[in-house]
Amino acid sequence: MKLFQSIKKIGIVISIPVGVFVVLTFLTQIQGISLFAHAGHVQTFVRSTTIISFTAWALALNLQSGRFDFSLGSMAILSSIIGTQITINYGLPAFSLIFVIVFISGLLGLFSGLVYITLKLAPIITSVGVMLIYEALTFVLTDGQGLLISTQFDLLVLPSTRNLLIILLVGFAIVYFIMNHTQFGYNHKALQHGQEIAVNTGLPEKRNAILTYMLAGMLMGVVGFINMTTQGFTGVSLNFTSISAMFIAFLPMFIGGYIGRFSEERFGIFIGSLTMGLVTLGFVRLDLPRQTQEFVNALLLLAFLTYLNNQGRLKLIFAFRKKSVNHSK
Amino acid sequence: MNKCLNKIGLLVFSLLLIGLLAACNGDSDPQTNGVDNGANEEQDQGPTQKIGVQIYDATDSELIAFRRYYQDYIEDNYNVEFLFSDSLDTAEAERTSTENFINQGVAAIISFSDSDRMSVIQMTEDAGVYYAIGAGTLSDEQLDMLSDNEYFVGSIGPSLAEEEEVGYDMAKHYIEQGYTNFLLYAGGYPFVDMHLMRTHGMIRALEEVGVTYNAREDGQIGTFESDEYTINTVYGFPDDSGAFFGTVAERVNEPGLEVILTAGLGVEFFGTALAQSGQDIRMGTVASFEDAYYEGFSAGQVDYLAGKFSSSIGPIFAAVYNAINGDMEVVRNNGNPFRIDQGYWIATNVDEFNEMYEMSNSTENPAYTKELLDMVIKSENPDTDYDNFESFVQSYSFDEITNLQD
Amino acid sequence: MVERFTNKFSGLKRITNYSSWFGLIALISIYYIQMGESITAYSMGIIIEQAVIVAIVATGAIFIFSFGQFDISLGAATAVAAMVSVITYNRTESIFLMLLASILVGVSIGVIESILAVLLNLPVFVLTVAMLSILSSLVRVLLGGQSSISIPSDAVAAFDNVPFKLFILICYFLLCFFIFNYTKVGRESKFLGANPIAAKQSGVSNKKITIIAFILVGIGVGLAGFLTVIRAPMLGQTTAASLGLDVLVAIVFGGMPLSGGARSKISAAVVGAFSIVLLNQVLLSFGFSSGQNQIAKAILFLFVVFVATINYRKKILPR
Repeated sequence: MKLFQSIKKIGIVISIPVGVFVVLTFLTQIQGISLFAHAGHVQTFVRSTTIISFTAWALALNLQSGRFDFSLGSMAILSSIIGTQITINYGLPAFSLIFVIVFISGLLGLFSGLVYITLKLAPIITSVGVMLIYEALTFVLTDGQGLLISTQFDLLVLPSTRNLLIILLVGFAIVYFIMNHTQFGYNHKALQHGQEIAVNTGLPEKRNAILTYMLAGMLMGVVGFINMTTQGFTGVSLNFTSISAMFIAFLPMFIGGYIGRFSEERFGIFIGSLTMGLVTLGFVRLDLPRQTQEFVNALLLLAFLTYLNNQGRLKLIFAFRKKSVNHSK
Repeated sequence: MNKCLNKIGLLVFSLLLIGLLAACNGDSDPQTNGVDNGANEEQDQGPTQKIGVQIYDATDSELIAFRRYYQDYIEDNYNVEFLFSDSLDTAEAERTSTENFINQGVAAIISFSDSDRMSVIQMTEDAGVYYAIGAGTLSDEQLDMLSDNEYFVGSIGPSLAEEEEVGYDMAKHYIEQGYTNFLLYAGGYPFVDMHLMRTHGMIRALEEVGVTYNAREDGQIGTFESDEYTINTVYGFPDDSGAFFGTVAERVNEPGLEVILTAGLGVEFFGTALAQSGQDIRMGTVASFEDAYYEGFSAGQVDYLAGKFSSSIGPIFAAVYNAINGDMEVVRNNGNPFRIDQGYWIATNVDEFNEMYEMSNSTENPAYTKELLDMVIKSENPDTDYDNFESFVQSYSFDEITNLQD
Repeated sequence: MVERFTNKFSGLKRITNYSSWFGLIALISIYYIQMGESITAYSMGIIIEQAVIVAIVATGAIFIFSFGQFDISLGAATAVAAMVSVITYNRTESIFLMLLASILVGVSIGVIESILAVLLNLPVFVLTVAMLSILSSLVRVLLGGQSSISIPSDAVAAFDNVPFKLFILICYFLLCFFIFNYTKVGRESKFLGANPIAAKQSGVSNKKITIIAFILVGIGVGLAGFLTVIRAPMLGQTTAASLGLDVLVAIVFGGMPLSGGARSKISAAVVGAFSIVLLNQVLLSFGFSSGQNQIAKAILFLFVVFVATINYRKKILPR
């Protein structure tokens, strides 16, 4: 009986990516091409999966505690610009780039968290302010030009398929460990599910919030690193343009929440991201125009939310409670 | 009690902060005036004239180079101050910026933005502000409509035919060397006119050697057929999922690829994929003489560039300067606004590039120095006339300008 | 003694409640000092011109804010309404039908969004994220492969003036003001924001309020779409793209508590919209670069909100 249940759980967990894989294979076969034709396609798939996983982990950290963080995208951009410039200017070894960027994005996350706990304003407000500042700093620091490293060959070889897989695995292990086996993780969960009670029993909410922002920042640093080294170029964002980076992560986050019922949540997000990675590769192989990509992604998100709702599970997995807590009382 | 004091303190602090911002300005004003005064002893009679500059993208490196030339060179040599707009990506933003410039009392607007140009020209005419097009061109019909607009100065820039020619020349350059396997990057095709025209130029060059081009019904870039030639395409811009760079990497790694031809943004979008592929692939592009391409040429990623140089916007300033000085007649083409073509500098090897790069990026000795510009500014050279101005603008090539400087 | 302090305290509370008004007055003063004699009727006109569209959408959005929700897709919805009104004009050459089409589209989007939110029982914000993507791709579909669509500017020139735009703003504002302050709908949505559980128990229907709120915003979006075409009759992919967040910033700047509830006030939309435009004008007069401009704006934004909510701190962190 137990064995049967385990098999059922595994079945549910892998059904989504396998289903998407089958559909995409069918669609590409019709056009007479195959989804994975050469190593470049594997790399595209691994890269998208990694970028989306890290973004979705970061997004979920705060959003599932009811905090929406607009600054995620801007942290990735700003940390990668500063980190890369430091690495180049001080002649640091190429492999240290990711550590420098992640360190800086951790600092940016720390600042974000400090602004939040100091001003004690709704996170949606503080993060709009912080995002505007980070975006503007990318402009001010690079004189509006962004950063181009397309001739820094030792940095450009970093995002190889092998390295990306290592980053993905190590990232997952770290996030998994932090959320499931540390005091921070326990507290985070307690605060997520019952903020007022948790605070009344003496949990250090502020410290937990700051660490959460820092962790989210560091995860976005990895995204910044991958984008910078893959594209060889990071442009300047102004006027809220950096927020689009997180939209791609919503669907994986929900899939993660759903799968999390049957396994571990971070793992669920990874499976969700893997699914989106396949979809992204599908777009590349089918050569779909961008508006179609966006439209398909949005419809997938809606369809999945509808499905979850019919399953009556949405409320269980998503702690986006009505705002019973507000300033007005 | 303490709590109350805190709140009073905060309110006072908030007002102070706002006041401080106001004070910043008070401090900085005399400073900028001081710089201007120092540099313009002989022209110090009148107040500094303000000129608004509308740009479509504040982060575009070509426009940043233009900005440097205006603010670091022209402002130091003429009694003018340039105000730059934010990125104007909609007709609404363009109108807002025009309103703000008029409100700030500019004497003229030089525009590098074209969302709804005719409306802006109408607004500037109503407000009595001169308007000139710094890059780009007008159709015959538009030019006709503006013939009796006293405040429309004119336009200098590559015509659409010129853009087509640039794409054609670039493709031909490689076809003549015997290359047969190409990757075409069409940029914002079919939405961005200059990308569209350059791509059409490349297509024309390929058709001349027997390639068949099949256009697509939805207006996107089509496909090529040929026994001898292999031609792949990429279009569009980066997105957040990584799909664009996935496509770029896929195309660049196609076996046998020899040349990448881009309608723009060559090093920005293809430099990295080239570096990562490790193959010996040539790249030709249309862009500008800036740092990114310096690196690209040095590293052997690019070997053909049709590009703008930073001071290519010198002549349009000269025209506007004449207009605001009341000498509009010297830039009137038989009483009408002018429309003059100005093409690109073309570098086909690293040495040529370096020579042009150096002149393009110098703020001490740019291509269009004060001495050159003064030749067509009436307050400096009373003998100048329109013909003089037209041939001055048309002599834009590197060699011609070097000759003029000597 | 205690009483005196309490009085004093409530007095201060009242002052910080009006801090957004002080902000607006401070900005007007600085603008006056900066511009001096060069302030003309033209200056006044462009401030109204630039604030009207944000003010209208923000006024409607107050309803959604009042029960503690936020719609990020308002800009894209406005763009879709504007596009449809352009297409309508080009087919019919009727300004009236163009206005009607714009409002119908705005309301339809509101109805669809709210029904989805209610039926699917989704968090409004997350739903609007999905709607943002759908509406933005719809904008591209409506463009039909062109980079822009337009109507002749002569067609709407008669309406392109400050009094007409101000008239539309005032009418819509009065409608919303009345509904918000003097009807059951307004009271219930504030109640819902202040205490959802109590509101539910006393018979307030979350679903009904959500749908009505979105319809009211839809009217505003439709009017804004129409005014967008009048202001700039050429529309492209990025038309109104930043409007959604401009509205958020304006509303918060205007002193609206993001959690909604009893302190919600409809005037926040207009005060905020005008403050933002004035702030832009003031920053322009300082001659800041785009980047510096944005930093100054962000810091002032955080600061103003901080001061406005200084009296409403709790032991736990707001979410």
